[in-house]
Amino acid sequence: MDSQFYFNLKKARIFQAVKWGKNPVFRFARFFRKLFFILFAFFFFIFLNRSFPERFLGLCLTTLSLAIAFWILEGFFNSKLKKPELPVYREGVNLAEFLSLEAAEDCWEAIKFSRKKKLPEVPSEALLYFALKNNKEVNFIFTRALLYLNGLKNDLRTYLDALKGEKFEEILSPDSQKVILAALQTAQERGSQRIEVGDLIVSQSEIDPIFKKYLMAVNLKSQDIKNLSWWLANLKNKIEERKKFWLWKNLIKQGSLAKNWTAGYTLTLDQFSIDLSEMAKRQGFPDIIGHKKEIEAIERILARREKNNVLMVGESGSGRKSIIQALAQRSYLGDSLKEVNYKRVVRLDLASLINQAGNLKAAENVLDAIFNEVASSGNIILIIDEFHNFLEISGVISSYLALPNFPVVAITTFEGLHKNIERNSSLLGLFEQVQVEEISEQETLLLLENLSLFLERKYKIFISYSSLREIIRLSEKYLPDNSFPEKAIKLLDEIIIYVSQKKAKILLPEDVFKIVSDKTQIPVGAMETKEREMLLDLENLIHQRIINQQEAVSEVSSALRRARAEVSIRKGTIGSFLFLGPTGVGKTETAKALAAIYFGSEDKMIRLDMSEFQEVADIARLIGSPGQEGLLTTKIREAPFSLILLDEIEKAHPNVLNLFLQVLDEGQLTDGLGRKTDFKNSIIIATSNAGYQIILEALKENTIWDQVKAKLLDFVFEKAIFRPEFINRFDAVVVFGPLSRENLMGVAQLLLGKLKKNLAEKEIEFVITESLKAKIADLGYDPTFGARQMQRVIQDKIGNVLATAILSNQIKRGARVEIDPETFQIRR
Amino acid sequence: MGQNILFQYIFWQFWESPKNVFNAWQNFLKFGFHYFSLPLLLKTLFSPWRRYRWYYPKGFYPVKYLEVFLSNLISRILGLVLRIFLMISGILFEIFIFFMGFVVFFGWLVLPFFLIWGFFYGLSILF
Repeated sequence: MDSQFYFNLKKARIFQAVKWGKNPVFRFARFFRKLFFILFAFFFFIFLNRSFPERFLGLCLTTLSLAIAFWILEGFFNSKLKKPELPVYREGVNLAEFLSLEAAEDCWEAIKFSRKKKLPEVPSEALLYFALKNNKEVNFIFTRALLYLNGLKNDLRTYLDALKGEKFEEILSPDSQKVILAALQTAQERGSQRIEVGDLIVSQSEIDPIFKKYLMAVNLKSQDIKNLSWWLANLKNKIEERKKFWLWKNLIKQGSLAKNWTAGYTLTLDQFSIDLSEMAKRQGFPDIIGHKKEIEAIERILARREKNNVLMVGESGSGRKSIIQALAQRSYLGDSLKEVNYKRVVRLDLASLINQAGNLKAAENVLDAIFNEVASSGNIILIIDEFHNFLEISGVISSYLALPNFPVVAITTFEGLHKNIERNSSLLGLFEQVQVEEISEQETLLLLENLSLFLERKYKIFISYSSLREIIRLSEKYLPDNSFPEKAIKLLDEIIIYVSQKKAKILLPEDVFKIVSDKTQIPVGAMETKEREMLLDLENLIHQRIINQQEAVSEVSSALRRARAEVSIRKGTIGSFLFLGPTGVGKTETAKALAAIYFGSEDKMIRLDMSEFQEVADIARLIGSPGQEGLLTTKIREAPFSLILLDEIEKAHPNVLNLFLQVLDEGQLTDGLGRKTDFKNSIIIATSNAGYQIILEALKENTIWDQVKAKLLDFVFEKAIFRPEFINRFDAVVVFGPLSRENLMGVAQLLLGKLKKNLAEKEIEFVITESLKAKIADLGYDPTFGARQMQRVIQDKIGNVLATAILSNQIKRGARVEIDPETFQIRR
Repeated sequence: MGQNILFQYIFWQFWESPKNVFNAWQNFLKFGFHYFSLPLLLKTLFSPWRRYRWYYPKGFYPVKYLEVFLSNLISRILGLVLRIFLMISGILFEIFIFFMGFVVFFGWLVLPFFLIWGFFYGLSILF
């Protein structure tokens, strides 16, 4: 351990509080204070109602003096002894100085325990045990984490009881030293200098093996304990701060009586608007989480003399309205810039205005009156939501927007901006744009924590921390179409309703898995036995539809297993493959089989014929543009769990291929409307028959198969069909070999098998003979088209004959049918 | 190890806590100014009430001119009266806070002595 580590509790200032805290005067000060106040009230009541008051006056004075004395002692202990001055942190400083009273008490208990057991050093397990034993607040962390506190305490006790020593020395074990140092770091990260019990527990969760075992059992990490501990610390701080009513930040919440008196009346506006400043006051000024950058940018624009209108652009659900709420709040509390402070932030309800006015002409007159009021009132920041839907009013609003006393924040989406607003460049010129990014997962967690306390009260359901964490993880992964925080909030809302429906009392991660699976049709959470079997047996399942192509099937199966077991290190898609080989050898069929097995249906395949994208102009069709949906991006946004089949990729324009570089690398693409499209849950398969001649030649010359792939790639690069950086971004380049005669027989068996199955449903037994298979294989194979013709041959030669026979009643139910391979007539 | 607890108590009772009381007192006084917006009211003392104002006509229309002048004058007088009323309320509030703060601040300083006196005087009545 660090030679500079110095920890001496007895010499730390906080030790005085540990010592005095045991003194009955301080220990029972709270109790005595209450007792003497009650006695005082009692005696005072009698004093007022009795005819011999002197004695009771004496009792009143004595009890009141004692009650106040204990109140002062309590205050002295809590604000002075408990919080001694901290030294400056530097190397060699006594780290015990940084302990809070509770943490110091736990350390002292651990030291006393080690002394009693004559241990050579203070073990970290003792620190953890006493931290868990003495503090009720750890219940918050353990209950929310669904951790078994008593079990852990018992295990620690058993471990500590088994320890034996010869001679006690008051030094911390290396692990205990690590715990103290890590706890100090955690406290500093939290913005505090004092190590609280929560910080000790967080650092123990990183170090102590017994604690780690418990965490692993419920699938939690040290970071989760840290989140919980910070949640608790934050709640405690908030409660403490609220009690101090004399603080400026609490007093200012009362607002101002006369600031509005200097502003004009806004009677018409008040009829068709919502005062967000008042709303913030009613809601008790909730915490502002995230979007700090955007809020500051908006405030800066609003504070300008000219062009002080904001166009806030962001995806729906990315927290645009909470930014406005934060603006209203900061302005109300005077936390914003001077020019923005103490303004009324008012949201115009345009939809109801147009509805009530009946028609746009009438609405325009009212709007003109409203805008006039805003401009002359001098203290309004006007918010217009969904601005792109109300561009008809641009004629009325344009003349006002140039006025300095008419600050507006218009809210829109990227689509609305590109599709509608950008068309009116003069209107757009009056705004300054602020783009809203979605908030981070960590910020969303803070938001969900606050929300879950409210939901718990409303539904009387306990929400476990693991569920919140799963909600964030799964909504990030499986709901890419929406933004944080809204997708997580909506999901939590949906799940808690589900839990209340089934009359359960706790919201568990299993409930989250259930709802997410129902929403996405994707099995999430603990892998079901059936799914495990499917993944382990993937090769065989694919081979039920694909003949030969061992390498391709094995590559694809391995990639999917990696993705589902979440051991993949790639950032991009679930898997991306380039299938090379002649036509008709099963490339497309493999893709179809995969879509059916992995995503549940062949319909989960987005098939794009890349020969349709040979021009640069075709990019817009692929990724969309204002007024046009993207063939790729829109489909993948709607169904992120899809297999994308890019047929004949070599025919696409090089710029189109460049687009896919980002998709294959990062798993995302920005569409024509500026929205991020997520490909992380899709499989991409590109097929190409470029260089198939090489394969055919190699077969003729009996080249070793491993060399064929290298030759093929050389050919592809030489002819500049694909660039190396494009090829390298695929998980695997898989070469499909031509089908041998045996393979063709297999394909024939597969296709005839399908026919046999159909006939079996009509209770007709269809006999597949070897000679029939051989004939079909002969007729169906073409060196250029592979086995593609085989299906047509079966249709023409066998299907037609059988259809005619069934319709003319030549074949009846229960019949046994065999086809002559030479004449293709039914054998009797 | 810390200092003598008695010295610490004396330091806390007669220096640290009065400092906090003084800060709270300041906060309340500042809040009074903010709540009643006294500087703003003074600055806009003669402004029209709720920004109600009329504009003079272009051209020579003496009657109309007089009408606008009177309307604006009434608006300003109304504003003046209401603002003065609110300012008086604000000033009264500030005076109240000032004296309350004074009482609390000095009350806190003499509280320990009062307690000792109260306790022993109470006992002397009893026995």
